[in-house]
Amino acid sequence: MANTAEKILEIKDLKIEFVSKDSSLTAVNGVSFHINKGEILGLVGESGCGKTVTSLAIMRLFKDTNGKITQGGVYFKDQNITTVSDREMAVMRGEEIAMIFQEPLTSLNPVMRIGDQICEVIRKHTQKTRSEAMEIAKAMLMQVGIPRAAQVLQDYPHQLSGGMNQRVMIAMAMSLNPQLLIADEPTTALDVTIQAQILDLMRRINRDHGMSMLLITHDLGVVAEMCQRVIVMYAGRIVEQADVVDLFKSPKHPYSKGLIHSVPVIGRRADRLESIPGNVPMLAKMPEGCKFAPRCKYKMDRCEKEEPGLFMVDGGRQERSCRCWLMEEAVI
Amino acid sequence: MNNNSPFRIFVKKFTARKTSVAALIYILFLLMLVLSGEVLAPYGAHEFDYQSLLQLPSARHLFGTDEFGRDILSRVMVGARLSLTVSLSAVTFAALSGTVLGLLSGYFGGLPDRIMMRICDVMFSFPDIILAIAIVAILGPGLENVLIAVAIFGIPSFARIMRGSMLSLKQNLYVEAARSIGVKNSSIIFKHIFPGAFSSLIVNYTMRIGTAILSAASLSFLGMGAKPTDAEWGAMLSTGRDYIGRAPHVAFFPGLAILLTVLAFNLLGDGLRDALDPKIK
Amino acid sequence: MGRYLIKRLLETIPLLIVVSFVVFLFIRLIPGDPARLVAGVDATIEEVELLREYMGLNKPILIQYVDYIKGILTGDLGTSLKTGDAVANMLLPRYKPTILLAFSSMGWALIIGLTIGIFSAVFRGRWPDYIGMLVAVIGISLPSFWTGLMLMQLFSVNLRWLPTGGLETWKSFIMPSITLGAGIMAMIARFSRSEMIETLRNDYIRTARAKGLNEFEVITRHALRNSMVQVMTVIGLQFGFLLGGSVVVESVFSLPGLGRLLIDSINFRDYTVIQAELMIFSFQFIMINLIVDVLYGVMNPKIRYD
Repeated sequence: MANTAEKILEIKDLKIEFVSKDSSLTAVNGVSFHINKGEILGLVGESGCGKTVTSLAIMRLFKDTNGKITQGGVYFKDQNITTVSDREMAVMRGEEIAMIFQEPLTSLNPVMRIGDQICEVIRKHTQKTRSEAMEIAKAMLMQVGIPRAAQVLQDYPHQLSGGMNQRVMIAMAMSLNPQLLIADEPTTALDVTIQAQILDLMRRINRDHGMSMLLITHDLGVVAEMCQRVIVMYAGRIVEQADVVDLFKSPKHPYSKGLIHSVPVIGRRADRLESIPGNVPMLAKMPEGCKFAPRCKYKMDRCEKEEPGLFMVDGGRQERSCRCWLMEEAVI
Repeated sequence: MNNNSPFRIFVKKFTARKTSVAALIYILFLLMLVLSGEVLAPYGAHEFDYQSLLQLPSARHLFGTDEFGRDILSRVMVGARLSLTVSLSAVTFAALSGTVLGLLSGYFGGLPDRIMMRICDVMFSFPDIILAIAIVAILGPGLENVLIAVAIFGIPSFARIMRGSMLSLKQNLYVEAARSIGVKNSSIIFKHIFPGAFSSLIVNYTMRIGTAILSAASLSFLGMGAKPTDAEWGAMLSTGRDYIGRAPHVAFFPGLAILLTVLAFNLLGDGLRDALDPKIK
Repeated sequence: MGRYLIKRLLETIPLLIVVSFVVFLFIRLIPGDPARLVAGVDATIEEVELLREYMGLNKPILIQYVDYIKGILTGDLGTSLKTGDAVANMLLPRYKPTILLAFSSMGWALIIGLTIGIFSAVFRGRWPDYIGMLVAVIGISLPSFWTGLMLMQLFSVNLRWLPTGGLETWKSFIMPSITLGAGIMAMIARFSRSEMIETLRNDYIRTARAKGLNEFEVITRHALRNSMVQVMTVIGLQFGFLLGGSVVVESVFSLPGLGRLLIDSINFRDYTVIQAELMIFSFQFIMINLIVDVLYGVMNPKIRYD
């Protein structure tokens, strides 16, 4: 069980907009959650729900896009990092918070050797010499289970497989022993068997080093395996937050219900695959009221007019909430 | 529904760039000048005036006069006609032949295609001007031969572009044929491939007009194109060269005309390319 | 890498042969009679015929071609019809001005062009971009002979800082290299800008930032290295532009280089010199492209290590 007292990361009421010459689109609206120390928190949702944008906001990796945090704050170890200077943020990146991405091959520089890329982050944040950094890099590669580490240091990314490259990314992310690892769909681009290995690795790191993780994915299987708590996002908002077991056993939000029930279960007969009808709304054309209402089986009149707040739900193993008018009645 | 027709989108994107619009206006103005003949010119292009040789720009002669007393403004205006006709004809010819050659080459493939590509390679082995000079050397000096030379060395670039489009078209056709009955081949060509090929064709055409104007003027400057007495921009610069120091305006204005015209075509080409690019905005 | 090199070499050699044959044929197409030219206007028909026989002009074309190639391989490029000197001896001293001009032009065209291109890409959409690209589009539109003459007017006549032409000092190269370099600088600026923008869109740039590198480090250590690989290929093409442009610039500034020799020899119908010049221009261009391709192979690890 995670130590619930200490929060390593807290997001409060975050609003992220994409600003262009004549318009601004709200990608993320009023998102609040926290990650406890040593915990793996899952962030689930379909493409376009804002989960990636939220993760980029933590380290303010918005350069080259029009994204801006227009409201709310990100607190890392109780410090508001939304307002620190660029230079201070750069110091934190890699050293306190690290991030790995979905496509390992394109996320590594094709004309730089693996060793040099890992050394780069080590030497940026510490005073180590090149050979010292290389030693650390080699050790990290071995830790993530890459055999022939010395050889791989000299290789270029295209000479390695996708799985190996993702291990390299993890090694690179871990090399300065950050406290929080943000993993954006780390296994989506990999084979199923390799997926399992990478997830194993990440679990081991979490267990052995106590590294907190924010695991972003659209794959519920990954969530079930890895996370202690889960947040479900839809259309830039949090719609449900729960302990992983609670979420799978009894999802409260209609969207979560749809997600959980649309995954076929081996061994259980089903005549058709369940799916959620309709499509995710476009950022420019958000419906009034509850954003999920157009697709919701249980929708009431009220849902189309007023957007529900995030209501606390009783009876969970951990803190639990749900953004649905149906839950308002449930709260005592 | 009407508001988002491809044409409307294109116009909107194009007019967003002020430089492209300005370039277009300038070119239309030039075209008007060319079509109206020598009517608008204040003096004749060959009108000697021995009383006023090499005069600096004044109220009577806005661009000054040259060594024979001819009004430079009028000669520049007439020169516009020469430059534009030569370059437009040459590039149009190159575009048409290049397109046909490229499409055929891409369609048939095999030996004719490889030969065509080798020929293009050989032509690409020579810097543009050198090739033009070589052709003019064979044909002899004169503006018509410059036109031919510029037309010929323009062919390979169009051939390459259209061949490329035809090759990707062939790929698509196989996919389509595998899926559908294969009857609507020609409509596939016109609906899917031509738009993409068409935009690179148009952009290349516009840019090559600029190149053609520069090449033709360079050849005339070197004495291989228009006769020195012709009111052609390059030729005017060639004589103006002798008067650098005493009467720089003789070389200045024709050269400025070349710069502005080529600039206009390049800006137009850039504007067209960005307006036609689906990835932008 | 070895395979790549061999492939490129195998492609180049036939090209060189075909080009040499094409040039050879070209010359034969130029109207006029070389024998008559050498013999002079007063010579009788019999004398011209004798001369033609002596010059080997009556042999079948292919034999003449083979003789010519044999000559090239032994360093004999024929003799000038105008002066009677060995062409090879004529060409040699002309190399130096052309090469110096080429390198000085390319030198500062690269420096300024790359700088403008990179700044325009990094500050895309803001005023450094607009100004940079405006300068670049003007650069590719400039008629080189006009630029040269105007520079001459300003710096030689009005200010008297620089010589108008000839080959006296290093100062003689300033205006010519600016004139010739302008167009190239502009093309490099435009191309490196678009390459840089493409590169900055890549995922590994985001990773670099996530590692805590500042913008300068991201650009110099990651973006630049990748864009430069592509820009290399364009630079090779620019050398072609350079060779062509040298013809005009050397004329304007009276530099005794290879370019000017081409014009002179065409005006005099000096066929052997024209032939040699055309060969040199095309061969140089082909070789430069080959070198650029090889360099590209070296810089691109995907090719280097496969």
